[in-house]
Amino acid sequence: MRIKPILLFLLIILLVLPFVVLPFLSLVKGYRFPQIWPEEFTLTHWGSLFQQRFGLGKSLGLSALLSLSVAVLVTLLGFFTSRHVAYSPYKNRWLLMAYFPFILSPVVYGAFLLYYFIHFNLNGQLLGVIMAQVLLIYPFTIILFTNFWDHRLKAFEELSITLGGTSWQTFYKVLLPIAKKIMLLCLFQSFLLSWFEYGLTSIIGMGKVQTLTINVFYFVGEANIYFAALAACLLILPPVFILYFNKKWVLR
Amino acid sequence: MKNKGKHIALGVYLLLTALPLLAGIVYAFLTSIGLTDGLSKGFTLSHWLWAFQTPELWQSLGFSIYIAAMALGLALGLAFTMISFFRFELEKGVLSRVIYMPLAIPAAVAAFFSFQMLSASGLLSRLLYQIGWIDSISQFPELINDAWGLGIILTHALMAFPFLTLVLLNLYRSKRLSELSELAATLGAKTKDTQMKVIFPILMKGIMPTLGLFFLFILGSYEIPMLLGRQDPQMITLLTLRKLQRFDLTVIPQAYVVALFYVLLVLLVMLLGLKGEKIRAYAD
Amino acid sequence: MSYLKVEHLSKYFGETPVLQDLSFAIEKGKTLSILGKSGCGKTTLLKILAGLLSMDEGNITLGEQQMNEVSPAKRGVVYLYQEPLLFPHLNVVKNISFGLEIKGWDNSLIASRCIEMVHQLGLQGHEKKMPEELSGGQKQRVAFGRAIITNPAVILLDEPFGNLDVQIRGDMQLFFKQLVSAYGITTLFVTHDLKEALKVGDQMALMTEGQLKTYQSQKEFLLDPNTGAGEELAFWENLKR
Repeated sequence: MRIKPILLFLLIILLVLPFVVLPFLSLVKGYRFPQIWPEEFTLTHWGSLFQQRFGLGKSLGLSALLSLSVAVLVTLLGFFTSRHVAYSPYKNRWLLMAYFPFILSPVVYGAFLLYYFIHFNLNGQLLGVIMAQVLLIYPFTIILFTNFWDHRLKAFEELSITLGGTSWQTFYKVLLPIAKKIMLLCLFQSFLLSWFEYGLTSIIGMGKVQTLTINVFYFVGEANIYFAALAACLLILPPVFILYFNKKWVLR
Repeated sequence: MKNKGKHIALGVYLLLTALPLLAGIVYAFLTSIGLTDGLSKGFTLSHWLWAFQTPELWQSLGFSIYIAAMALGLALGLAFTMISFFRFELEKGVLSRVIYMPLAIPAAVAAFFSFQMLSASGLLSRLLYQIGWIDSISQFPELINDAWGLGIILTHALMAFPFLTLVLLNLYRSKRLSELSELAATLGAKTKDTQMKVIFPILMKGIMPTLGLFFLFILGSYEIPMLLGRQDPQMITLLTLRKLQRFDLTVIPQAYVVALFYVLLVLLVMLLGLKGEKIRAYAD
Repeated sequence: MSYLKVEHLSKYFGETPVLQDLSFAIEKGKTLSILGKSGCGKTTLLKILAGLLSMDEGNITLGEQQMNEVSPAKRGVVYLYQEPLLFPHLNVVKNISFGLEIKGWDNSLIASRCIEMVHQLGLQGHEKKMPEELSGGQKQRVAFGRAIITNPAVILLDEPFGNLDVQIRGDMQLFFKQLVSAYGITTLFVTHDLKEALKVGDQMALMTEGQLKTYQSQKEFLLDPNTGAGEELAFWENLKR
């Protein structure tokens, strides 16, 4: 009995199922139990992306703007500050702090931060959500970058200086070119972390900053599974795209 | 000049990591003993007493640990099955590519997808109806919003297992397990001995830190239990937010008590983990 | 006439002395070999001379100029690491010309100097290769060329042949000796390999636990029981009998 090929087939089906079911749900209409095949396929849900009253197009733009700003900001901040954390004699103690926001759960961290965001009038605003996400994702970039600043890189810096390079030349001609790859990786991963974020965004944004993840739950709440599926499709598009080009950029 | 840059960098680091966390915890603690907002009547231990007098918090902590342990156990089992049966397929061919695909799915989407698949009127239920295994919607087993958190466990396990599989696969290569297995065989080990005495212990040791992190991720997860769980019992993040976002403002201190208990739990898990690491480091 | 002069140099890490009252001098264009086991403070000494680490006491002069406060970029002292650390994003020629480009040299001048240097190094035909395409010996040549082309006052070498195969190692020692004498560069060379120290060095010194002993001649060095040279000689003598 050749059971392995069957198992393999089922496994592959299971892994790709979401990428079939979600687009499918975004393309059907009047889909009720116990139908498997819908009465009608339609493009109207996707068409609503371009209609203002549903706000999905706007939500897509908002998510993109938010995630891009956060990714650029934390990548730059992380790159410059991680160097000193990595070269500190107490590196491991410093690094411990960077793990907290994630292992403490973004939601619990958000609950702790909420008072201060309300106090400074930053809740329910895009700026507030950007700041909150920076607080969440910046530590992650530190963890990523500290592996980059190793003895070898320190030796490159020293070599450049003894060959007569100034700090700026060393940074511009040596560090930056060597760091290009990891900075790109950091940019993509922090973009995705922001793009996927829900808990902290919903707490600090108070439902007023309507990113795509917020909209998935909003439409589920409205029992509008077609729009929820559409928002879900939009959410998985960029990671699938990035995955296609480089697996490493998604693997966290 | 050089030191100035260093101080600025470490200052920014502290400002963005330790400071907000500490400030948050201090505020939470002060609120939990009634010392912050105008609504409270001054110092009180009543909110902490609430935690000890009612089972709500303990049930929630217990439920969270149960969910995280079950989901992680299931995911790890699946991942080991994957690399025992499909190691060749994971290196080459369709599976080697599609195994990465679930990494592109955020928790919010995974929760929605599971909901559409597993609910009483979901796709699985429709499929069973069409092939005649069930006659009505009510015969479909309760997998969503159920008392045992089956939907939550299943969804977390399905999200985690491809990642764990990839970690195991990576360990398999980096620890040179193929060579070690051959070596064991030449020393007279049977396949089963090799699996149990060589491969499994090495992989388990290598994957421990990842498991610890995943345990904490699932413990503090939010989207999936929010959509697939029920109100009682409820995972810790949901309990915190339910109490924080009540219209009844007097419940807010309880939210912080819950959150602080959670912080203690995480610190405990972390300490155990770090201690384990140290013991292993010494053993090496 | 001594060129690089070090007087009473000391360095502490916290309370622990790493280098204790070191004094030595190297003549212009000569190579001083320092023999020492790993952990004796060799690398710390080299980093202090390059200006990458500060010293706690002492005096460093180069020619007539005191170097104590001069920044690493302006010292003209190049430090070469154990591994031939080539910039991974630059090809052979760009690696060699790095120091000149940083100093803002004219492009045509850089190009002509590089052609000359590539020829010296025997790397013709490899100009456009990236570091990962080179063998260990070739990488080491590029690293030497990159240092020498900047016409440094002093080159510091930290076990530069440690990672090479025995065969290539001998060739590279010889090659390096020819190169520095052709350019008349003053060199400080540290190694834990007795034969290598003797082969490369014009002047000899022994470093143990942060202290340095210098010798007037190779013969004096060989006769000191602490260098371990006596034992080695005796071993070969015994073998011959």
